[in-house]
Amino acid sequence: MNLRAYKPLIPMMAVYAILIAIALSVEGMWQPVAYFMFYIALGQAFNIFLGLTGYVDFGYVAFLGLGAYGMGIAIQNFSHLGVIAIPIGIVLAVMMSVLLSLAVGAVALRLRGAYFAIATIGVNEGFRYLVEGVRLWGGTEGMILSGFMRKTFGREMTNFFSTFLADVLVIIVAFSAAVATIAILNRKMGYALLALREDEDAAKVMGINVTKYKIMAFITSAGFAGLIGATAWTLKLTYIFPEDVFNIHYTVEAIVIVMLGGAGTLLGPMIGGLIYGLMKYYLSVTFPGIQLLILAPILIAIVVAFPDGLMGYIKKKTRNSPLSEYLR
Amino acid sequence: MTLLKLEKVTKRFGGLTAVDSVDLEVEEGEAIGIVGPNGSGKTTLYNIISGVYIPDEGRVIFDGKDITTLPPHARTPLGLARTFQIPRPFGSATVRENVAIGAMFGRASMDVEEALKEADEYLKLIGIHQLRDKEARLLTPLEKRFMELARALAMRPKMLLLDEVMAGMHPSDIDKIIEILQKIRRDEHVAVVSMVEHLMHAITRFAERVVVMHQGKKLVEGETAKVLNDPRVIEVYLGKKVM
Repeated sequence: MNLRAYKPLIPMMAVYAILIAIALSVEGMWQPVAYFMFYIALGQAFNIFLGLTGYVDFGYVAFLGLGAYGMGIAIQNFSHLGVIAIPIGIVLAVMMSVLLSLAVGAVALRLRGAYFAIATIGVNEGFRYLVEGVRLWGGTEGMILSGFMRKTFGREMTNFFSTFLADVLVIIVAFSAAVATIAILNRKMGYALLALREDEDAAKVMGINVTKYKIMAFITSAGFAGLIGATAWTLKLTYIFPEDVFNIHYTVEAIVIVMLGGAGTLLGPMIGGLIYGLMKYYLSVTFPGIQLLILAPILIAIVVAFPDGLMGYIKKKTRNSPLSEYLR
Repeated sequence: MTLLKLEKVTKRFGGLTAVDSVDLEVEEGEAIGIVGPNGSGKTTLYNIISGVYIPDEGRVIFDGKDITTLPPHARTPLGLARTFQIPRPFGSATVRENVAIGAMFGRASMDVEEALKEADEYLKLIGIHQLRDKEARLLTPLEKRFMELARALAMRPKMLLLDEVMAGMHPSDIDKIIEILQKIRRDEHVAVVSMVEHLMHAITRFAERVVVMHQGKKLVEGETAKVLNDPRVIEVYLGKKVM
């Protein structure tokens, strides 16, 4: 393995270290930092698909939703085994979202560009109506796990899970998704995705099995989405409602974060997630009610000024400098 | 040994028969020119060989295998490589990365580091090594053409399909490209099929055999000098003698 190619993880680790230090040392900062980390994780996971392939999946939130239910089902059914229900939930979350991505990908990833986007737009809504309609996993009433968790894990442990462990797991998921991204970028798969993003027909003639590589990126991205749903939602909030976890709103946020930071870059989702999370959080504190009215024009201005995202801009500016090894 | 064999290949688009029952054989290491006016079916023929289109009738045999319905990406490892008339670089990648992608996914199937090293060799060979770190979309059309040739060569094909690759090149560049092509034919027995609409002089110096296409059919096929002096060819295509 060529460790030099992993250098861009160093600035990322530095930012994470600063965030964690602030969260632990400044009173009342743990929750805001956890909030930013959710958006960083969301961007990092979605970037593996949107950024690397150039395909937009409007149904992406369905993977988070299924991951959330995976963890919920594990807590409901395996909590008699004690804390081991959490790792079971994590495995189940990944399995469920990966299975869905295989099903969606096998059909929709044969479509090109906008057709793919349209084909995926109904996936999350479809799941929501399925869960509500056939009263699957509690139907519209969702899963309320807090009482259940307190009874089996104890009050202390439940609090620890939802106020600390869940957030730490989200940080780990975000970082793992970044490691997966750079591992892909450094491999043949990264070059295959770059080629198909630029010109899919030419890529095919160059010997690249485009469907295979798109599905690989899709599954990886979906797996991380499942982990985010399981940790940032189920474990942290201790409840699941279908209208929340299948809400297209999160897909749109993920798209904004990836575009803001720089699609297909390693550090972009971190920058995008941080900026988006910071602005959304502090605007809602200072201008409650009209925060989105202020946020939207700022986002539009950034995207117009930096069409390749902030990281895309930084990369271009540092192209021939020694810094470029650390920025990707 | 026969490398490529087309048997009665036909491709229709609606009412138009773009390629009409064409037979073609190419030997290992051979240099063939495919000439014909615009719309004569040359590009469709290339697309059938490279797998972009599946013919409505007929068979495509490459290296003893029937590849008629094989998808394009599965043909490349067998030893096919092509360039495009309008170059299709992977724009945001560097020139070096573009060529390395050829080495990674072509017959050579190299890993990333090996492919990047290999790319340097081919860039030097073609003479565009100084452009290696430039984004491919920033190249001039002519530079893109050189890059595409380097990319196709890096795939280490058994058969190289060139689409107007020498158009717009300086005569000294044409000399250089012809020399490179002759070298890979000699040393690696690569068959080179070169499609040309204009630039008859380059083809007369390079190809051993010429196929003239006209309205989707093979009009004449044979030794370059003979074919280009054939009265039918002069009538439908050349308008006057070229050699």
